[in-house]
Amino acid sequence: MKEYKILFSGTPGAGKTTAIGAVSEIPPVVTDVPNTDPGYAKAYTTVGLDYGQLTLDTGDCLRLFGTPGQARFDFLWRILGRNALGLIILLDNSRPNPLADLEIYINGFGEALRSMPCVIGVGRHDQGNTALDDYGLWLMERNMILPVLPVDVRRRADVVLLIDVLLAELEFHIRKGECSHVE
Amino acid sequence: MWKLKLAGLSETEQALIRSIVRLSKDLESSWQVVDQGACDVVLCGTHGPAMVMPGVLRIRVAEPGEHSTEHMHDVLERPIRAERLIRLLCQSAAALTQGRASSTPSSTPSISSPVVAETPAPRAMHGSLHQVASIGRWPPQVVLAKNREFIRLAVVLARASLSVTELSRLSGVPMETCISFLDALEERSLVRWGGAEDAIPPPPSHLQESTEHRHFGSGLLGSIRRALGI
Ligand SMILES: Nc1nc2c(ncn2[C@@H]2O[C@H](COP(=O)(O)OP(=O)(O)O)[C@@H](O)[C@H]2O)c(=O)[nH]1
Ligand SMILES: [Mg+2]
Repeated sequence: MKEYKILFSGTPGAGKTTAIGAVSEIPPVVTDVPNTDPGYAKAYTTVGLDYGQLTLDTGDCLRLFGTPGQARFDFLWRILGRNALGLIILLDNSRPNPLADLEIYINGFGEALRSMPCVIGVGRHDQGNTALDDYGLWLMERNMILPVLPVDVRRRADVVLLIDVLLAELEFHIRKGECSHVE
Repeated sequence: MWKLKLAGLSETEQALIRSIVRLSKDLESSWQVVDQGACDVVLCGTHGPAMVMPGVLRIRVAEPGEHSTEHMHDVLERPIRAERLIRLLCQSAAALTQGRASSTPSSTPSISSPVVAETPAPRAMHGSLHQVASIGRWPPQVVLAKNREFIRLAVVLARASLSVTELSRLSGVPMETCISFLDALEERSLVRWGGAEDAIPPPPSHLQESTEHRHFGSGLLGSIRRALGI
């Protein structure tokens, strides 16, 4: 049996746990504790890992990991990111400065983003003052083009679309021979 | 500037033809789609005019096999392919030039007359389809809406510079959709066009077959998609 993983990262409260729960075949394994950080509008927040999985019809296993959101765990992001098929960054548009949030994850994953497919899902996109297109422009200023999609993590179809786009990117990586750990 | 009139075609086909004419850099400078007034060529569907003014060329848009009584060269088969339309219009331009230079005003030139059929379409017109497109940013939501095919095309173009034909082949998205996607980007000045030398090299052949399909039939990506029900 082979194991593959997809990583969910992003702002605490943006919906990593919810997104993994939406597609996992097992109830997500969650390690949330009461939130003591007043900056995030939720009672519980992920400090450890979220975990979900999908059994593939090849008998292989796809593991879904949610990283701790807080920037102080960025060493863990990179460890978890090793050999991941791809990364989904979830952001919360209702936060005061979601582009500053994006920067935290872009910087945190750093070099890994050069070889790892990545998709950005923007939650609560109808709230806040940042337009969805601002994310693409922000990335363009840094010479990056990453897919940016609105997402409501409570809707399975939205989460599936994020993964589908990630797979489309991966398809291209594989073709260009950039993805040595696949097949 | 040659004038092209569309008659008896669906809105979708009209939009497609306008896009092809606008997107093909060389057609763009020599052809104009007009709604009324005089024209040089009429592209007509089943309900288009049976007769046209003398000196005006008529190209029929028809289902495959529907055109047995017509000259093959005067027919554009459905589904409309950009390459075929461009070739027909190039041949028409050549026929019109010849016809007007050498014959009486009442004679109608024919695209399929032997002398013209042998005239190759200008190279540049074929070349324009092989120009490669690239994007510098993720397309705005107004272009993508929630169109999965457009999103897929954006993913591919974000990673490679490709001609319309290659984009269609590699993404598995129909040519018509690729053209309307590029057209929507072009309208907002979001496409860069380059020469063939800017294209990414073709993928290794053992993977080529599977990537021509929307999904990997087998292999990892296919199994993940199946597990997700997509
Ligand atoms: N009303 C609303 N709630 C949302 C939306 N997106 C996410 N949520 C909620 O926000 C919470 C996200 O929590 P969680 O998944 O634990 O976030 P995590 O910290 O990233 O793991 C969940 O209760 C979601 O139902 C949205 O667009 N609208
Ligand atoms: Mg969580």
